[in-house]
Amino acid sequence: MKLTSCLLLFTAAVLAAFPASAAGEKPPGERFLIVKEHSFRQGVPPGDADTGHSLCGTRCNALSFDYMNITMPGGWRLIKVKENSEITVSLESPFMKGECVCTADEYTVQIDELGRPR
Amino acid sequence: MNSVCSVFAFLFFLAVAAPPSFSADAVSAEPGNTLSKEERFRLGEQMYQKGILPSGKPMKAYVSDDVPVEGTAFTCTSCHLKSGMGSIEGEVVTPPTNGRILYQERKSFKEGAEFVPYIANYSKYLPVRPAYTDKTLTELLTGGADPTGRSVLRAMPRYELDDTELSIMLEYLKNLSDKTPPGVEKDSIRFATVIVEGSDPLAIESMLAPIQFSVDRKNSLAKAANVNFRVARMGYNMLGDLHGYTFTLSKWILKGSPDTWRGQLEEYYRKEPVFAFLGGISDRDWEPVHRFCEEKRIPNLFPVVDYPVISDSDWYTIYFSRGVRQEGEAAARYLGAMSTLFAGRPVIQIVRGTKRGEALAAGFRDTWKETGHGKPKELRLKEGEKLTAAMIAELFQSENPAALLLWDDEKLLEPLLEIIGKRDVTPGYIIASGTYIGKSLWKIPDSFRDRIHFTYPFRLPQDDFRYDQPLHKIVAGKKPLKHYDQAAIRQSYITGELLGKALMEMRGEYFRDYLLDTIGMMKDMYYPLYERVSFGPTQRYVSKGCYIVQLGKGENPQLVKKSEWVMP
Repeated sequence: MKLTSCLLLFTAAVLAAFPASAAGEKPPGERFLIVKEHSFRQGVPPGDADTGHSLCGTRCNALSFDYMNITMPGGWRLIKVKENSEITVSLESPFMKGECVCTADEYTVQIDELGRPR
Repeated sequence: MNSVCSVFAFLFFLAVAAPPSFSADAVSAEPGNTLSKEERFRLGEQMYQKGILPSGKPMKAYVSDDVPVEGTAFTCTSCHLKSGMGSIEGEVVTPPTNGRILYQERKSFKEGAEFVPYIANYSKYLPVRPAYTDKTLTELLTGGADPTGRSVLRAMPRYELDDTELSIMLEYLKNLSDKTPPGVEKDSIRFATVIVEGSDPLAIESMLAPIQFSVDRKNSLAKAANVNFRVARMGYNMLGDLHGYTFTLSKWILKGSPDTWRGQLEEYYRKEPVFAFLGGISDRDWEPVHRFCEEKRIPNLFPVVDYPVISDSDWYTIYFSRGVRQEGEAAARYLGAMSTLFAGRPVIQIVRGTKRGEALAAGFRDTWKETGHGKPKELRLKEGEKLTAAMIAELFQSENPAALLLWDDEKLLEPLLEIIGKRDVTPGYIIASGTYIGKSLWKIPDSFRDRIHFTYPFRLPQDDFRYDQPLHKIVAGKKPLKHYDQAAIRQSYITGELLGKALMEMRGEYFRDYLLDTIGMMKDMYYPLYERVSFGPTQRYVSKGCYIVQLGKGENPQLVKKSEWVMP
């Protein structure tokens, strides 16, 4: 009887110490960005600011995930983990130097195992 | 005195500004009946769809009581749609305007469908009214009042029509979506899919599987409902009478030269008229099938073809996209945004003389010209001609291009990688087609990956896997999904899904134009393969985008987006 109680207590202590692993929680999944704003930071030599801003629109939008994708197939959803992150990427233009500053919200995917079609 | 003047002025204004009304008696006298029935129908269709009077002049109309507008800008079809079955736009419901429904009393329910939610809710939304007569319909068209005397929405134009024009219009409305179309029976609907002989057998199998699955699933419901009242009740609540319909899908195989397809289609259609074509596949032309559908007014939903007919006005075939040329168009849009930085350096296309190469080049050329960049320089390669590193090097030397478009298959890689490896200075951009180069795209060595861009007209594979679940159901019990043509099976899945949704929304009114109208009213959808498919009343290419991508780094690389979903 004493041994059983000890075992139960030990199990409870382990579960309390490692709740995530006990519940079978998965490691954090992929992260997605939904870009809200962008700006162009001139390089050397400086180029046309308007063209740079426009190209940064394309560059930053390419980082963005189409959030509407989450609405159709059942079984997963996005959870916001960070707001207004600033991500700086190279303009990657062979004709113009500079960087793009993309302001985005970061999301992670949570798989809804219960609602998942089988 | 002033007030008397004002009253007179007001009455005078009313007399001048109010649209004239017409005697309904004159209509019944059937003026203009010297014209043949077909000619009267054609003229009625012209008034209804284009707002053009039989005289060739635009119809005159008033909206918001007294604002004069030309009927060409406010056509009947723009709200009531081509079928006349009406539309739902936001919260504005435009009622059906075909004679069969107008000349029936409108109740707050549809008899026999009182408990079918999507039909019952629609019926409740519109106000009740008695049946129209020729007289009251004339009053509606010219004065804007329905048979109860109530004014209809101010957005509904009041038309200035003479007796002949009114008579032609009324006759047209009476014939609009009136007779059950071929292929629709009391409890069954016949479909066909057109297969061009010689197409890849795996692609044919992959195109057929999802459509046949949809048909079989529908027929299972009808069969189960027939023997089990609980299933029947569930099916009826969901689909109304549609739950009991069975579908058939015939395979029409076209053989030989495209010149002979028309005759073969005629023969198939004579033997077995169908309501619509579902899918279909050809690795060559589709034009003869497209033309057949236009002439016979048969909807063709989403054939699996690389070379669709490009038209702004054709109606009966809806394609997944503008085909291969859409990649060329996207490349032109992408480069166009930075063309001011090219400093006079040219853009050059190397074009393989195949149908695919030419279509890609034409897409780029047309869009490049449309966006004000003139004609790109082009180097043409015959079908079997070898592209060499020396040819590319000479081109770089002599032209110093800002961008090079390479519309060729995987054979372009060897000479291209050789020249990129040797030269320090290459064009700013090198763009090739992701679909033309195919699986070889994944074999590009790490060190070259940031030098070549690709057009990619689908959702990226690392995102698309989330949509595979329903596809596994379709192939369950057959063979694994990976053994099918990955594009064709996804495309056909979309066809099956959209057909089901459209038929449910048609409220039991199975008319061909209404099927297309219904799909045209659908909101954006997120399905496998394409990032987004979107619809509009006259839009015939539902996936309108394309990514510009590069292959990422590492041993198991992913595609990396370098653009948003470019809209060509």
